[in-house]
Amino acid sequence: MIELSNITKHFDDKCALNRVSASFKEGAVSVITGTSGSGKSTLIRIIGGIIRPDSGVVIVDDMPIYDNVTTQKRLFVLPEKPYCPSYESASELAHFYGSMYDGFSEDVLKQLSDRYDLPLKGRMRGLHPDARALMMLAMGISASTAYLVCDDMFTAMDRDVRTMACEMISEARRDMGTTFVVAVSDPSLLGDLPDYTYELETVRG
Amino acid sequence: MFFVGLIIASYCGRLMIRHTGVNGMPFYEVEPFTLMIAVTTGVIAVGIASYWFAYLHSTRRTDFYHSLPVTAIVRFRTFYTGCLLVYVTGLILSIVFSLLFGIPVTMMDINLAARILMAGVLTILFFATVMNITVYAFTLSGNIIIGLLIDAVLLFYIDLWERVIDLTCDFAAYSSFFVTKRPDISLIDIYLHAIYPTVRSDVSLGVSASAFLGAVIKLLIWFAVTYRMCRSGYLNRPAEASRSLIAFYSSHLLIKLMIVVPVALLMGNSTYHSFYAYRETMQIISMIVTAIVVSMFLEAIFSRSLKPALRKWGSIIVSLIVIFATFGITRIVENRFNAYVPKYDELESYAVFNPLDSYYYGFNLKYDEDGHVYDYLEPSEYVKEHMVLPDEKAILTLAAKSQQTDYHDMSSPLPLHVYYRLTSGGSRSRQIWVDMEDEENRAMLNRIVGPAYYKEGVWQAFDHDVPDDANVSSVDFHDLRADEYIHLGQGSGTAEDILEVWRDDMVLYDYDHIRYDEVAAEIEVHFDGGLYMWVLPVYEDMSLWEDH
Repeated sequence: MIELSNITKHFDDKCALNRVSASFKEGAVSVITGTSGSGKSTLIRIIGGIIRPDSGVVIVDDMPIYDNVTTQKRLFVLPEKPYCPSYESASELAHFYGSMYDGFSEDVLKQLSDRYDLPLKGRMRGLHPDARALMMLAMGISASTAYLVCDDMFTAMDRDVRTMACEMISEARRDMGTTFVVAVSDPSLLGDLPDYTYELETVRG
Repeated sequence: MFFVGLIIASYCGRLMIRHTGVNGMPFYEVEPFTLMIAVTTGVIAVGIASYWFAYLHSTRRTDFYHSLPVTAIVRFRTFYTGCLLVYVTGLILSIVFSLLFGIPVTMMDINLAARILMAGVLTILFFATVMNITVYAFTLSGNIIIGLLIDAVLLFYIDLWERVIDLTCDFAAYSSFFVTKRPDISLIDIYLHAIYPTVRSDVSLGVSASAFLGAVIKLLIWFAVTYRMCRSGYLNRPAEASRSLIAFYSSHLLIKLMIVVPVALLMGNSTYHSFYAYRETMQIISMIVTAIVVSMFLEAIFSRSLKPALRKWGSIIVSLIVIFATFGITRIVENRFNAYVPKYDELESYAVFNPLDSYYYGFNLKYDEDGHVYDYLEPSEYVKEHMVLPDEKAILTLAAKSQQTDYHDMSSPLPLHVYYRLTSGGSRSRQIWVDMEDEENRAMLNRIVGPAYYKEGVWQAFDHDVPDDANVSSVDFHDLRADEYIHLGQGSGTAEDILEVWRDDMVLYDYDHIRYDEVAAEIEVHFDGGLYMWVLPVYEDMSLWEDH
């Protein structure tokens, strides 16, 4: 389970998150919503262990996430616009992730790429942004981590691609028991996928 | 990566290939060559570190690398080792390549191998330190342009402060030949001053090794300190800093002080030299104005807005306090320094260096074990070692009179650099001013420069015979007034004959006899085909001039 306890974060003088607490249940799709600037991306990056909160703590399976390899190996993070090294193909990137995540399954990736027509050869940078986002989601699922934390990559997606992404998430939850924490500005974009919804309020002042 | 390897290979190849010539690289090509190595290595270090650590300035790339299941220290080591390996691998490959194809097997000996090793170690340490500084600069900012600017400031920061102190303090010994050889503390100075004798094949291996060892210790200290800084900067850097120009909010003030203080002191000094009346007041005003303007400018850059720049006076006040504290301390040190005159019973002996004659101090030569001339001696070092003047009363009288009158008020001021050897075993260097219109001063000065031990301390040729096995390729008389050369002959015998006459003439050398006039001609004794020479002054009242 992922638990957030009194997370506060400032950027210089500006408060982005103020004492945010929540817990995300295992095997469920939890959605964090909020208006633009409410701190969704910041919260996702804190949950993912990318940035450190000023105060408060993120606990994943009873262990803090920040700079903790054991916990980070149980969690895959997908930013809003995931970075892909320009010189790598999907299969090379899969090989790289394979060296990082013990449970990475190339078979799962192959199945997903075949099913959604995602090319494993050719540079990632050459893919359409929607296809690239879908490919990165497939990578995250193939990593077979217990948790997949995903920033709002859905709002900018084409409707059909978003449907495919929701399908992928739904099946991974069902077949692999993956827990998803997803940030999205409008939860209706995800249809009936969310099990729980958390609304993040913009900090004033 | 290939491009970087190619650059490394090309300069290392040159380093090796210079040994393929029968006589090695001529000494006058070594300095530009070592400068080229330093610049190339520095640029490569900045380039490689920038390439590997520029991800810190991209949110997307930072998110990618920082979300991977590795600790920050492992991530740092991976990137750091990657940078270092690119360079070291290229260096080793190019050395192997040069050894295989650039040098005839017969020329490879222990001497050459030792030089390659020493040059390699120095260059790797220099590279790694520049790389550390660049990485540190990149951790301080979230913007690549600002990162490179910080890098440039940090790389030359020690040199900048040396310049500030030189210009801010009008030390009595400033520009003195006795003190310009200060210890090398700047990274670039350490490297350049060590690599030069290391790669010179005509300098004995012992001399090269001595320069190498001293520099390696200093470079290791530089490396350790900068490694600690860049490691700490990386580990403490917040990932979200890729959004901002300055990564650490708390470091705003420090960065401001690091830039504002030396810039204000430099500006104050330029203003001081640009005015005659009220120049001290103008200097203070200039420092205040510079501190305010530069602080506001930096604040505007940090906050990307003019409003905070106009509001934040706290940092300006702190800057002014640091500026005036530094200025005051340097003034106190300068005044105490300049007022120093040793007591009579404290002084054991001394040496003097007349800067107006400085040209002729520079032609004393270094010989290696078999009498082969390989370099010029540092003039101040030669005088320090060879000139032992015993007339303490003369120099102390002149030094005391120099304190009484500002040299601006003297009719005919002559600067004189003095190196005091104290009975305590220590030494001090100071500059004094002598008013040459004063008869008593001239008499005192003649007591100093007239005796033979003064001349022996200036001219190696005054008490050294031409070495038996020296290759004296030419002895010439250069008439400076007519700008004519008269070839007097060649070989040690001819040189010795001319030197005998010159030494006899120089007995009259003082400010009441031949030295009152300008140099009329020069005797040039050329060694080794003109690579090195003794150049000796000839005055109008000397028999050499009359007979020529």
